[in-house]
Amino acid sequence: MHMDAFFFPRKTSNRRRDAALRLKEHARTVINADDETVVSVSERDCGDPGCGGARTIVLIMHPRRPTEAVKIDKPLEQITQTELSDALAPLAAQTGLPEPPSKPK
Amino acid sequence: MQAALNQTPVTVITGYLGSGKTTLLNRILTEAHGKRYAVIVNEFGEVGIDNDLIVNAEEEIFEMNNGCICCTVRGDLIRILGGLMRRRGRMDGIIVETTGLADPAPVAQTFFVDEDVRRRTKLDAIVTVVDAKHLLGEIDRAPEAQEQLGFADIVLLNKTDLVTADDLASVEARIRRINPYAGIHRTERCGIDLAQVLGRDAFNIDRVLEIVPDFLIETHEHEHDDEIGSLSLTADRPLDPERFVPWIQKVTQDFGTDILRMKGIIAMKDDDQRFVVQGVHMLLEGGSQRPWKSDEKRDSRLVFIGRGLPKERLKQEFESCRV
Repeated sequence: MHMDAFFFPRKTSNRRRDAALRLKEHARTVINADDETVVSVSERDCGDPGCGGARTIVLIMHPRRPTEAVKIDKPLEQITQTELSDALAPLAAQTGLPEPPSKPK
Repeated sequence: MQAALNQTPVTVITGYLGSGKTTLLNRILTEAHGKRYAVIVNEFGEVGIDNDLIVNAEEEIFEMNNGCICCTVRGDLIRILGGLMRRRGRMDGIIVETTGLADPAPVAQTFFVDEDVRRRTKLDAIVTVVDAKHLLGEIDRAPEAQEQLGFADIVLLNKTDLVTADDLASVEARIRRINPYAGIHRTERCGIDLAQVLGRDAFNIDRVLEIVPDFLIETHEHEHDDEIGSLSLTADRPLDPERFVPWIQKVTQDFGTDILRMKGIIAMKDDDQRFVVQGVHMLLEGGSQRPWKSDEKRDSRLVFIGRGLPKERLKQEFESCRV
């Protein structure tokens, strides 16, 4: 049994952090985030053997609005910009702003 | 480990208005300790120091629209910490001051959740400053006061010059019932060597469970009507990971709202590695820590601090995880 797969990873890394920052940057573009909006990216165990062991959660925090979240059942280092754009599309649509075109991977 | 990863330690200072929080902050900012700290405060005026490393925060707590507590984090902290980390220049630590009635959970959860925050910073300790003269009344009137104690790694029992020795002992005993594991320091005007408060690595589970309180018992003879209490579970036989892991995940999901903190060192069947686990509400973190030493007794210990915990049920279910 892989113990560490069942929890948040205890040890993070520069590589994972850099991947998270890239996802954050892309997410901000997709939802047209302003300076007050905070985007958080984290990876955790999904609790479901079928999901491949890891789930990435992107939190979108706007002032004076409930936090929104999208979840992608993949380790964050494996998520493509297209996958992230697709996951965020409903949130971008809610803001009423035009969705930016998906960037290439 | 901290030096190798270059993570900036973050100390959270919490406590009621009038407890002495600001006194402690001013000491950190003015004393000639040779270190450079960034401080995130709620009101500039209280601190009164002109320092370009003081950041005013508005304690923006962002909650999920479905009430999911595990995603209740301090969004402002994520933004501010990101900004601080981009600054040039050495920073020995970051201090986060919370307001008097603040729930420390969103702050602690922030350090579990965001990948950037996790990589570049490390929660060093939650320090709760309390007024020895007024604490018992505050505890009785406000659950927030108990929560601030429940979350503490370090408690400064301040203003001890205003109470008798007997009253002091009573206050300290009451703190212990809520949180058996925090280090308690008696102070006047927060007069304590700052090295006892900063750079402690006290949030590190490895440090806490090396101390086994001899006053800790699983059931109390005199049950106080405290909202917050603790439960300590031990096992002298290894645990079966096939049972323990699903169980601890389910416990944090079912009771996470009421579990302030949870920490454990676990001996797993057929595993020479010590397994450590730490949680805040429903957020769980764990993994193999290091090999058991040859002369080390492979006992498992699991501690919960929370409100209304089903102690008997948790005890029985934990014991059923043994091989």
